[in-house]
Amino acid sequence: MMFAKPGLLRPALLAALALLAACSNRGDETSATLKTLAALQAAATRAVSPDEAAAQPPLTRAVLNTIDGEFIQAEIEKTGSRAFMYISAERNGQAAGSEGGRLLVWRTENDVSLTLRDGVLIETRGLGGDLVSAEGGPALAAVRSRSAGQGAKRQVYSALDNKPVVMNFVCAVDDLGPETIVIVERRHATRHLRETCELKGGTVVNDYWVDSRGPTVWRSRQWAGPNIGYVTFRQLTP
Amino acid sequence: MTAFLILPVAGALSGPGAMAQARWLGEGLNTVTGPVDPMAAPGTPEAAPTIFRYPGRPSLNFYGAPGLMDMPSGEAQPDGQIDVGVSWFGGVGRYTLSFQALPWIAASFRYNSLANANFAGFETYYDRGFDLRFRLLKETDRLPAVTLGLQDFIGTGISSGEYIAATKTFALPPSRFGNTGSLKVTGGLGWGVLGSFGSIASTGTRPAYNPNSTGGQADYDSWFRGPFAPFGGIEWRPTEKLGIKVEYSSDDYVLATQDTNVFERKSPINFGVEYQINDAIRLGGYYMYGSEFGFNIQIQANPRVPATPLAIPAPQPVLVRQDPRTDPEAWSTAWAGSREVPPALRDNLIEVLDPQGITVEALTISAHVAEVRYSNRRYWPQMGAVGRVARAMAQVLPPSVETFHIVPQSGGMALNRITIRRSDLEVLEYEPDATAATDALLGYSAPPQLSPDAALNTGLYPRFTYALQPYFEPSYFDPDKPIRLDVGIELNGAYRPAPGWIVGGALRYKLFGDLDGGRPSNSVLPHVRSDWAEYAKYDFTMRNLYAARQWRPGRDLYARATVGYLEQMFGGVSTELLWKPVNSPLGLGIEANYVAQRDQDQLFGFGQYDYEVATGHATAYYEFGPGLLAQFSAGRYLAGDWGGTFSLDRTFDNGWSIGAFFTITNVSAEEFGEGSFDKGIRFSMPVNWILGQPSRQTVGTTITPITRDGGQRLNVPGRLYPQVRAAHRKALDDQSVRFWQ
Repeated sequence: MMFAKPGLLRPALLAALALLAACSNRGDETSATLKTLAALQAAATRAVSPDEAAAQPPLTRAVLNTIDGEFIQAEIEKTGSRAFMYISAERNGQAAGSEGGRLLVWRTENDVSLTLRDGVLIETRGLGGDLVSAEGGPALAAVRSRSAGQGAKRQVYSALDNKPVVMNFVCAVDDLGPETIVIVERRHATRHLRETCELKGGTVVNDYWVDSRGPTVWRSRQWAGPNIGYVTFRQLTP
Repeated sequence: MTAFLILPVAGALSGPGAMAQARWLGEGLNTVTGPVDPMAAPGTPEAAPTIFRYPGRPSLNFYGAPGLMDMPSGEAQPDGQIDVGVSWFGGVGRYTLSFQALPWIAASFRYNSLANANFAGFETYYDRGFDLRFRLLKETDRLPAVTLGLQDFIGTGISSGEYIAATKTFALPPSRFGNTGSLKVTGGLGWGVLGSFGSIASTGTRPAYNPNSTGGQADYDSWFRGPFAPFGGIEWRPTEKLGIKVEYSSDDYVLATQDTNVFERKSPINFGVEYQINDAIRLGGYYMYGSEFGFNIQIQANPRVPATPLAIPAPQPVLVRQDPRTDPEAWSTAWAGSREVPPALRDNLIEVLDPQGITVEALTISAHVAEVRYSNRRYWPQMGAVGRVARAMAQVLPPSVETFHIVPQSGGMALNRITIRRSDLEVLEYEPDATAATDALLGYSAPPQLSPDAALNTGLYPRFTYALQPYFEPSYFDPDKPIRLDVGIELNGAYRPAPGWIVGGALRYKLFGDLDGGRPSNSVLPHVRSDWAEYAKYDFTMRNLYAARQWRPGRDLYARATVGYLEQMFGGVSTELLWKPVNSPLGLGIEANYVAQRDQDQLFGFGQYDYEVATGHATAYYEFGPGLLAQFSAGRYLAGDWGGTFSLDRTFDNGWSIGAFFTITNVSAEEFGEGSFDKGIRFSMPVNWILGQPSRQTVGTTITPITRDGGQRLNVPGRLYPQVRAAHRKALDDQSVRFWQ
C-alpha cells in the first residue's frame, strides 16, 4: 500500500505506523474491509522486496470477494512499489468537468492519489514531479468508443522550481484487437488499445485493456512523467 | 562588478512588455528535453521525453569554467547551473565556484594555490579571483557557441586573462560505444596569461602584475591589452559519460615556471580522460605540459532541479456543494447572525489545517463571504498553503459562502489577500488547464484590518517555543588558513505574548573551532567588524536577546521596532518601515538604528569599546525578469561612513537564491585596507530541495573575501522585506502550479 516515493527511502517502520493509523476520509467503509485491506497492503508491501516475494500470502479471488466496493492496484515500474487504492472522490458527467465521464480519485493510506477519467490517468499527487492536470486526449475517446483514433494531448507537470511544465503530445491510438486477460483468477474479455504519443523525439506508449462491452478499463499501463515513469493499473474489484 | 550595470532598467512586471522582457533576460523556459536514448524501444522509460536534462552540457576546465583543461570553450552552462571545480597539477591548485546567473552571463569565484612558490614572501601563495563570461552567440545548427571571458579580472590577479572562444558540437553516428556520441571542437584567442605562449600579435601594452597592491578593483585598463595568442582543442565523447580531451595551451605559466620553480613546462599539448560518475560528479585525470599529472573534480548542480523532487502529501479533493434546488435547506443563511457558528467553524478549520502545518489565526464569516487568516508553518511553496486553505474552506464552510478570502500572515502581520470564488474551485479542479485558469481567477489585494467580529484562534497566544540546534560559523581566505570554522550548539527561544510581539534570545556554546586564530585587526577605522577573531575567543556567549513588535501602520505599510542585544557585536534600538503593495514589483524601506558595540565576551556589557553610532538606510527593492531581485541601499554604516550598497540576487521559485553585493562608502581604499571596498557573494538553499519533503527551513551563507570595517551593516533579526515578499503576488504567481497540489 505504500508507494515508495521516488528518491526517498521509506523505512518499513513508517509503513507499519501508517497501517496502524489507517483511516479513510470516507465514512462508509466497514472496519472489516479496512482490516482486509490492511492485510492485503501488508502483503503488497512485502512483495516489493523480491527476496520475500515467495513468502507473501497469495492474493486470491476468495480474499478479494470479502471486500465491498471498488479497489485497484497500482504499481510504479521504476521503484517496483505497489499500492492498493480506494476511491477518495467520484464525479460523474458534467460535474466531472469539460471532458465529462466517470472521474475517480484513487488514494493510498500514505497520501498518494491518482486520478483516472474513464480509466485514463489525468492527475497524480504526492509522488513528486506530479502530473498536475491533463487532457484525456485521443486515449479517452478511444477507450469510450473502443476503437482507434488520433489527436493532440496536453499534460502539465509540476517540475523544477515549482514550475508548470507543459507537454504537448501528438498521439495516435491503435486497436490491437481482442485479448483475454486474467486479473487474480478472473478472466476478462477485453480490447487492447495502444496510444503512442510523440514529443521532441521522445515517445510515450500507453496501453489500455478495455472490457469488450465497455466501459471498464481492467488493466492499463500509463506514463506519469519523467519522474514517476510508467504506472500499471489493475482493477481488482468489483 | 561593473558588469551588473549593463542590465537594462526593466519595465513593469505585468503587461505585454513582460513577456518580451522575460525572453530577453531568460529566453523562456525551454525545459522539455529529448529522451535518454533516442534509439530505445518505444514504451521504455529511456524513450520518453525528459525535463531539463542536458547530457551534452559542458565539462569544466581547470578554472571551473566550461572548457578543456587550462583553456576555456565558447559554451555556456544551462541557465542557473552551479559548478564546483577542484583541480590540481604540478603544484597549481584551483578551487572554483561558478554560477550561470542568466542564460548569457556566468560568474566564477576562485581560490588559487601555488605550492612551494616562495613567492612574494609566501611559502604557498594563495590568491582569490573572479571571472565573468558572456555568451555572445548561442550554438545553432550552423554557428558555434561564442563566449567572451574575463578571467581573474578583479584583485591581485596572478592568472588574469581575457579571451574569446568558439565551440561547435557535432553529433556522432551510432557506434559500438553507443547512440549518443559527440565531438566538440574549440578554438579561441587569448590575452594576458592566455596570450603568453605563441603570441601572434599585440594590442597595446599590458600593465605589469603587482602582487603587493591592495587589489579589489577591476583591472579594466589591462583588458585585451598586450600580446594575444591562439588556443584550441577537441573533446571527444564516445558516450555521454566518457570524455577524451586534447588541447593546445597558450598559457606559458611565466609565474610558475620562470618567476618561481613550481613545475617545468615542456610542451603546450595537454591530454585528459574524464568520466561522469553520476549526474552531479565528473572526474578527470590529465597529463599536463609534458611533465605533470593532474586531476579535476567537477561537481554540477542546478537549483531548478531538486536533488529530490518535492512530494507533498496529496490534498483532499474539493468537496462540491449540492445543487441549491435539490437541497435548499443546506443553503439557508439563517446561521449568519449566530454568535456560536463562527467559533465552531473556526474549530473545524483548525482541525483540518493544523495537521497540514497551517495555523489558523482567525476566521471572519458572513452569509456569503469568509476570510481565513493563517500562518504557514510547513509548506515552502506558499501557494501550496493557499490551495490547502481553499480546500479546507470548501470542506468546512456552509454552502452559501461563495467568496473565499485567504490571508497569509507572518508574525501577526497580514501580508496579502487572495480571493477566489468557491464555484471556480469546484469547477476547475479536474480541468486540463486548471493551473492557467487559476492564475487568471485568483485576485490579489491589500488585506483590510482584521474585523472586530473575527473568531480568533485564542489558543495561539501567549506561546513559548524553543530549539536546540548546532551552528556553524565559517570564515574564509585567511592567508594563513583558507578556511576557518567554529562549531557549537545554540539554544534559542521565543515568547510571543500577542500577535506581532516577540521576545527572543539565543545562547551559544562553542564546542571547537579556530576562528579565534584569525589575524588581529590592523584597521584604522573603528573596529566594528574586524575584531571578529577576538569575539570568537569566548565559548559561552549570548548571541542575542531582544523584544520586537511588528505591525501594519496602514495600507501597504509594514513596521517593526526592536530593542535589546540585536546581534553578536551590537545592541540598541532598531526601527523599520516598509512600503510594498501586494501587486507591485517595487518596495521602499527605511531603517533607523541607534546601537552600541557589545563587549567581546558577548554577555551584557557595552563598556569595552565605548562606541555608539546612529546607523540606517533607505532601501529600494525591485523584482524583475526571470527571478532577479535588485536592492539599492543608501545611508550610514556602522563605522559612521556614508555610502551605498548594491546587490543583485537570482531567486528561484523553490526558495533558492544566489547573489552578489558591493558597498562603496566615503572610506578610501587605503583606509579600508585589503580589498579596497566591501563585497561578497551569498546564497540560500531550501532544505526541502535536498529532502523532498515539505519544510520552510533554509540554509545559506555569505562569503566575503575579507571582513573589514568599512561599509558594514547591522544584522537585525526579523527584517521585514523577506517576510513580505514571500507572500506577495509575484512570489505566489510564480508558484501557481502548487495551488492544486
